[in-house]
Amino acid sequence: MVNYLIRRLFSMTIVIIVSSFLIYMMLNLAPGGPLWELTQAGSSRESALTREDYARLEKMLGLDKPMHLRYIIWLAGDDWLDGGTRKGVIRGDWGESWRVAQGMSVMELISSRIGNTIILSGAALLLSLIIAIPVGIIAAVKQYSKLDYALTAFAFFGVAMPVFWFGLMLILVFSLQFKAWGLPALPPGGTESLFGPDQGSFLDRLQHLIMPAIVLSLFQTASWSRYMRSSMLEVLKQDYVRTARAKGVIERLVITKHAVRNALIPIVTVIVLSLPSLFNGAVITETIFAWNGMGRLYINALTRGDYPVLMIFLLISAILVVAANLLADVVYTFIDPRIRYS
Amino acid sequence: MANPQDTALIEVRGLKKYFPITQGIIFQRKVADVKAVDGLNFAIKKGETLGLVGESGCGKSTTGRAILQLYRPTAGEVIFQGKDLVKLQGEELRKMRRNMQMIFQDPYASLNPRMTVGDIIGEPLEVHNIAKGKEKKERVQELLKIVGLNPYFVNRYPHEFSGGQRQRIGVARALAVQPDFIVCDEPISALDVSIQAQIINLLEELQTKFNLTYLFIAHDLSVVRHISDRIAVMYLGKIVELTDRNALYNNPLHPYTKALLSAVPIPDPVVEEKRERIILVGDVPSPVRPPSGCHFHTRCPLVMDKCKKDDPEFRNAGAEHWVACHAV
Amino acid sequence: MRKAMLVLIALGVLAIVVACAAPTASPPQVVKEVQTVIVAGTPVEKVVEKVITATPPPTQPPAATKAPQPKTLVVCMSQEPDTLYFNGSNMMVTTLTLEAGYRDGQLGGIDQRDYDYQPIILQKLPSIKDGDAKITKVKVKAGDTIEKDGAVVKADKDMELDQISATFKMKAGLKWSDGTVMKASDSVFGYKTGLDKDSGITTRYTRDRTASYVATDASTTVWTGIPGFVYALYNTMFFEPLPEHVLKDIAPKDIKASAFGRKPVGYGPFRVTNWVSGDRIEMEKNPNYWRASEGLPKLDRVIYRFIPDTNQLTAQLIAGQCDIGTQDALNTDAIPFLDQAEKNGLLKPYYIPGSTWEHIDFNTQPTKAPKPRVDLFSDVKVRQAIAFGTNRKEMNDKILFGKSVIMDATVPATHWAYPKDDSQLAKYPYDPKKAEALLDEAGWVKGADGVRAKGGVKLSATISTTAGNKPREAIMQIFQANMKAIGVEIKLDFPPSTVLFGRGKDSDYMSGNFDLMLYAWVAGTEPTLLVYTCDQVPTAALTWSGQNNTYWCNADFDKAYSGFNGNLVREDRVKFTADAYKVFTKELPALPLYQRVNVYATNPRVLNFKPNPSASETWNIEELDVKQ
Repeated sequence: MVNYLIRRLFSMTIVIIVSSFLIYMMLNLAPGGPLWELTQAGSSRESALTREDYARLEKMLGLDKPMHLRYIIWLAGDDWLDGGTRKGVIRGDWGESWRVAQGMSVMELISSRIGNTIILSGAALLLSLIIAIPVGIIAAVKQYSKLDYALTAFAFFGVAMPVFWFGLMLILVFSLQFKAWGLPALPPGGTESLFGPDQGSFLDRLQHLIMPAIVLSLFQTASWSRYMRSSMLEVLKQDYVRTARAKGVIERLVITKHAVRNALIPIVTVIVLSLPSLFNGAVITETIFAWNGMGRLYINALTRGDYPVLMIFLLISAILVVAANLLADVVYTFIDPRIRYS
Repeated sequence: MANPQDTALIEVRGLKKYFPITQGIIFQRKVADVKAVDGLNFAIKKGETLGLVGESGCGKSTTGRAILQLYRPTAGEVIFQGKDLVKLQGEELRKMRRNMQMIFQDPYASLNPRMTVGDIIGEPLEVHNIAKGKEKKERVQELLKIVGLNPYFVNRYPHEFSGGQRQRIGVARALAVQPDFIVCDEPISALDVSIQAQIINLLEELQTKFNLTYLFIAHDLSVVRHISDRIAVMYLGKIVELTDRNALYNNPLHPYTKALLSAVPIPDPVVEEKRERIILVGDVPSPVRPPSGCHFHTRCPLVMDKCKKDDPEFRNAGAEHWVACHAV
Repeated sequence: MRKAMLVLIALGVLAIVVACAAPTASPPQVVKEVQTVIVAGTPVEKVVEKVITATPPPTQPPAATKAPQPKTLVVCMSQEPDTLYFNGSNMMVTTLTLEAGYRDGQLGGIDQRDYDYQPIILQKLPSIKDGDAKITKVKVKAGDTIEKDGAVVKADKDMELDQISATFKMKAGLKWSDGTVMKASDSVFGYKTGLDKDSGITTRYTRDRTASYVATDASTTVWTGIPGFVYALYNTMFFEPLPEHVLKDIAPKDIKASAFGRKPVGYGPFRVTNWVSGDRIEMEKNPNYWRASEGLPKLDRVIYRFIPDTNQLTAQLIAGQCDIGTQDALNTDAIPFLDQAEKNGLLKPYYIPGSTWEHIDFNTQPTKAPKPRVDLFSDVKVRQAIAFGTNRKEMNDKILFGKSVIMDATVPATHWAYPKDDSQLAKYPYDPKKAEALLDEAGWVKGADGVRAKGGVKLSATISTTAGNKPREAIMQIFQANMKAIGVEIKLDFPPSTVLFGRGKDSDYMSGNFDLMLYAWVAGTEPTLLVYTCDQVPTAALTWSGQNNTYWCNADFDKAYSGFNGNLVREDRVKFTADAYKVFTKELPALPLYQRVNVYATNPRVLNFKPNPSASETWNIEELDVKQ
């Protein structure tokens, strides 16, 4: 196992370095760029950007150097190269934001959003698990019953429902209509109230969390419940489930101890591989509900050409995806005694 | 066997198991039945081994499972220790399982991959409140010894064993609750030939030791002949012949039995030379729409007009040799 | 399994209960109550805001005895400012936020309302008429920096040129938010900081044309332009002050990254207390505000929130979590919804025809351009016919729900440069019959297919605009239908913006590679006239950077423009604009369509909200108030 982990960590490192290089090149070769916005600004003489201005700005952002050198500087800094001040990503210098929050360090920028994203994505993940697994089990145990059809219909609804529309409908009903009817209403968005006696309290935050968490978890819940159902159906057909019944094990234990434990094995992979969303956030849900998370930061950085932020975001995402894969493999050895790595 | 009830451990009357076939995407309706088991009558005496043979898909395994109520029968009675298992529900039925167990065909699939051998064998002890804790562990080790496995294997997982060893685990698990009756559902057909004899011998040994009653399901006639006291031959959900094993092998009455026996190679080159094989024409008909009258008439060399109309009665042709054929 | 089912149902019920019945789920109900309180020994009656939560915990004292909540106003914008260092950002939302949190007046001490400038922290704007600004003839030696033909150059020989200087006097009592007195030297410091090439300022147009900017006493600055720079906006050449006492030791390029970039020490009505990155900027009343003695600002707190989604923002407005939705966050699509919401008393929308105006440019010299095209619009009669045949009212009604105004010239009728007597201007009300008559007259005869032709050339033109702009797509469709009715075939083209408006002679814009082009200009205090002069026709000499893509060149118009441009007294300038517009509307190198509409909405509790077409919606943030 230790040998296996060392081997995997080594190959992971290579994958990450290669992907960081590809990400860097793709971002920098794409049309647009951080100064694109400025070139669009000038329609009048007063605000037009001159060629000298452009060159000066490029130099200031370090864009005047050749691409491969820029990558090396980004990765390893330039203090050893030409006496610059940058230490490079691998030595913890993530750089400063160019556009989203000029002058703010990327580390600070990301840490200002990551908490909210972990709360939202984590809540959605938890909600999905709490609902999807029992729903999948029930649907499989009662296969072809009316309940199964109802749960299947729910799953199709969840998978097919566009997030933005569903979110909008929830806001319309639970925030606006409920308020119009004089019922207690949920806040339409944001992470906390800006004024009022409960501002920032746990309950206040919880209320703000409910709708986005439901919207974000809907698709996941629906698809996971289908995975769980089919995995469960697979297991229920197995001889060892019949063996358990023949032993005289009570039905509830046959389902939970014998069937569910085995049916969960493939589901764990799906769940572990979705863990990077705790960092990445959810662009659409965060946007509809004005949730100040990583997804919004990402899309903002993307549209405004804020490369330092984008690069760190994409790099961490890549690392997390690779790490989640390793984690899934390691978790497997714990839950499935048949699997051993060497 | 004048009055089978006197000594019978288990008696099966009119046992039927139909599986519905449904159609439709949202609203499913039943369009037909697979008549897997279509009216069986037989009894097994205490300490006896009844062999049940037939081609694949004739309903042998379904019969075994229906007797143990792993499939709830569509109709019929299964009288075991004075109780009709078909009428038992829930807890009562679960308690009865202590007395009847099953050994499965596939030693790979029938053991839960996430449980240790100790848990697999020990679980029935726990669910039937036979033993717990240390006592349970000792009992499990003893059982492993009985089936010829190293008692230190308790903490291992099934995938660490060979097929024969796994089947021994399956046997130990079935034995754990000290049942009276065990359904052996083709227990050796998934094993290497070299291992088969070991398991057969183990089963015979245990039968003597614990006074077990077996329903031994197999498609291999020679193994059945070796282990069974009496043999029932099934064709398309019905028993066509049931008698003492010697009577069956020496004097088969039903043309289907004859055809089956003619396919068994005889380990004597001279006799084998003369063996006349009866080749059955056509395939086994679908159990969804079995042939009218005698189910076997489509492939029977002795077919008569009557066979196409009337289902032959399962009758005693003398000396407890039961057969269902118009031609006999 | 029944248990699992029960658990599931219980969870569902729980979710609904939490959603519906959570005690604090509702925004606190505000109940107005007349209460007698003792103020300085005299009983007075006072309306007090009581905040009542759905389930007040019994241990808490009654809500009525609580101190009233601070008066808070929430401004919701679609984007987050990238910095609050004014030199470092060109975002509209930064300008909006700075008007509360840093400065007073949109341009830093000077405001721009109704297409004109107002002094805010200055005693007055200098003017040549009043004598506090003057034009002097100066002798220039070869090698001196001068402006010639719009560019900063070294004089090639000795000559005499005009030079402007202006004196700015600041009001008394101006203070920075940390209590330090604001001095004229702070304005000079602001000017000098911007001279640093690494300061982050992207345009140095006015700094390049400044000969000197000095403080002559604690509250007076004098600006002097370089010789030859005759600038109509000389009266705005007051550079925005920066607090020298705070920034003197910080290199200009480091200001953005310093605390000043996110919590500036300013002179506006509010000061930043907390910036939750990505979510909001919180500000409190600036106790050192120079108008504090007038009881300003009226609010205790202002919060600028960033909500990128229009629907979410509208919901927040209705739910009372946002008070003002800014123009960048709302657009004309939302007009029917906003009107409906207004009917239900949920919010108050405002539609102000703004300074951006759409127009269709004709290629008036299609054969002379670098990329020649078939001649369709060099004949003024054809251009006039197109104008008569274009139903601009229909465009306004269908696209902007009738909220805008049709334009006759290149400035709105409310602009100071628009002639008081506009009877001299040619106008083009929708009149398809007249259009057809003009086309017949010009020799374009309707063919069998309904399309006019002349000498074998079909009157079939392509109209180009950038892709992805819905209102423009709608304009083009209406235009296409209008033209079909008078026998003109119109094809639609949506090239990418880099192709249409790119730099250099390869772009469609510069090379005349179009028949008709639809885009917008922004009307400032100075009217849009320059872009239709002969000098602005793109040529190699101008390195293909001229802005007169119509290739229209008219001596009378140029004469009026140079008269206008060379004169710095407004009363005289209006006469020249009248002349210019007379020519422009008759010759019609471009057909003005309408002003784009700025959409704002407020919660009904907001008071004194007075949006203005050329100012930001919160230009009077210090006077905004909320109903109690």
